[in-house]
Amino acid sequence: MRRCEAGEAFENNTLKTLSGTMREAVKKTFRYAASFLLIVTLNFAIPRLMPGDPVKNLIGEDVYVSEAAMEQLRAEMGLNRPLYEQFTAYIGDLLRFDLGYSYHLHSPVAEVLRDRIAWTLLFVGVSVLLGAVLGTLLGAYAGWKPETKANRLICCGFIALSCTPPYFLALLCLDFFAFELGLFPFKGYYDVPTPGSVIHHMFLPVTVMALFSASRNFLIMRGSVIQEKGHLYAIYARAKGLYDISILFRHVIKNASLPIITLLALDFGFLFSGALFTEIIFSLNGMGTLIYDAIIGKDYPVLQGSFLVIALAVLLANMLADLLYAVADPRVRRPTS
Amino acid sequence: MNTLLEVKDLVVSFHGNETENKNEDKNESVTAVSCLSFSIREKETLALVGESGCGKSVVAHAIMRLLPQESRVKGVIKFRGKNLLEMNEKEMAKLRGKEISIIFQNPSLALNPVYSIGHQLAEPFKIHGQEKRRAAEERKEEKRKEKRKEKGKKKEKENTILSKIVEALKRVGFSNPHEYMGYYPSWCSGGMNQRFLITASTILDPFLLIADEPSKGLDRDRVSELENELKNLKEMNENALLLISHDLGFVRRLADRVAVMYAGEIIEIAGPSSLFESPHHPYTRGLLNSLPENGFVPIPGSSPPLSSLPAGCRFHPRCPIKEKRCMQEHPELKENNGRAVRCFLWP
Repeated sequence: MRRCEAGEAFENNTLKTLSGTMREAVKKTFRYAASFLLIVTLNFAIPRLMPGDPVKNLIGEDVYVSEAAMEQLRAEMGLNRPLYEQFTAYIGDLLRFDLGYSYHLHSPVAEVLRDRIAWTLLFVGVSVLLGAVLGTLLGAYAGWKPETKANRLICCGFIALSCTPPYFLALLCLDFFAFELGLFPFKGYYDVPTPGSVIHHMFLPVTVMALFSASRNFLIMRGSVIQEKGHLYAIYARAKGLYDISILFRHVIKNASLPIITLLALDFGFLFSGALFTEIIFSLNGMGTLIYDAIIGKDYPVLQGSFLVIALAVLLANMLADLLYAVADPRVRRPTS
Repeated sequence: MNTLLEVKDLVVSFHGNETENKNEDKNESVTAVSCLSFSIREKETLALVGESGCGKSVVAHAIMRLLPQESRVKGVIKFRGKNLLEMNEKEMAKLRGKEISIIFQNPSLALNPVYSIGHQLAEPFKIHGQEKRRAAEERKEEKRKEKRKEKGKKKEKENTILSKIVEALKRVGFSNPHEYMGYYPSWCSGGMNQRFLITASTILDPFLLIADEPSKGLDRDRVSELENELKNLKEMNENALLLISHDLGFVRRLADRVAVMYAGEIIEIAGPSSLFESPHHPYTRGLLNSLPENGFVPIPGSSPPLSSLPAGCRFHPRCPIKEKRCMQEHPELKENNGRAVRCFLWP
């Protein structure tokens, strides 16, 4: 009898949650679409809010060009039209997957981005991954035994790291390891395109970004473990006969690392922006230097394209985090049968 | 019958943050359990009853050595001839879950929310390497043999664990255990989780099972179900049970002996029938009178805070028949005819 009731209850629940998940999915899709639209609008507006004239910049301040020639150039680039016309043209191009043509680099923006983004993705991806593993493990251990001297020291170190801007850390590293000690090259991704050379060149920037990412993960994980280890299931794990650190690894760590999923999605965007500065300092030929040059040269299409791609990456990371939660935490899903 | 667990002069005190209270003269410490002594024989059920906050759960956690670090435990807890308080954490971990198990009062919180029921039920087997020893021996033998066979054996072992879990779940009333093994605690009701927790705690057939307020927060149907499950368990496995509860009716039907606690000490121990029919200690009498079926008469006042206990008999401020010496001297627990009472007014 009891079993029957339980079964019925579950059937009802699944029916209810089925429509619930549908509604939830619609809501989420709407939210993502709305934020995408906002991103596109801002992408268009922000470069145009910058002071300066792209045409003058393109020609150069010192060169004298007649007003008529400048007008002609402006008309060629479509900059003489009113803003709303430019905007509709931009949206129309986007719908045809056309990101425009770079004023300075004289090639389609999509092509330029394709060349550059792989390197930045490699750089950011490796850093996020290393930072996540390092920060989570060290943070978990520091939270498990927060009173030991070593863990207090590590904690102080990571707090200091998380307060240091990554570009500053990058400058320090560059000065010490590359300039003083001469262990690493100053700039670029490689001398010859071999894996060894790439690793040698990437070591310092990846270390800086990974440490920065690790410091954020460390602090979240440490607090999370301290909170989780007081829960009854952790005490029950001990009552089952688990010894010390195995309670952390078998029971606490999975619960405690749930907030890390959110942080990773946020970090992905945060690191992207941080990576731009680091790239400039290490003269890495990625998105960072591209955006930097585009800002200096008022290259609107390049700016719009790169911002769009980065925003999309962050949006995707957030969507992935949403999906990951459903996989990692059974409390946000229901029995499927 | 042999004594399985003997607790002698158990004192549990909690120390507050000592550095913070420097300006106070007294060291902030609360004695939750003072000079507690009792024993459990093999296959016996001893119930520990009393109001909330009298130290029942502290006793349970002290036996399992699960108390937080700021606690101090003194005395002797002898389990199968070994003093548990002298063991180090590693030795203790080997006992926990295998020889002594505990059922906590909140089953939905005691189970880990992110692991499936099946995973959590298989865990005791994995922790207490029943297969580890065997595997080590087998590995020696099979070193010359093919590797494929070893893999087959591993699978076989997993299958025996699985069948044991299925059997245990069927015993507590799940007709389709395979389905429930894929479930998570948050998908199940409190009563179901309770049964999962009992299964997890008893699956290795411990000598002693401690049930810490298992009936708390359950409705009446579930309590009678739980009662049947505990009864079945006892009949089937013949393990001893330390039942901690404030549900007197529940205790009466299950226990072989009942110990009544008040303000951190035992004030009466007797068999359930003699205790419930002729309670000796005035507190026990008051407790029984406060039951709905006995007229709902509450004991006047409330139990004293453990940080400032009254002098003399700890119950004297609320006692209706107190005498002068009750306020000055602390009575000892006196044994007489198989029952013990801590009161001057009973010989």
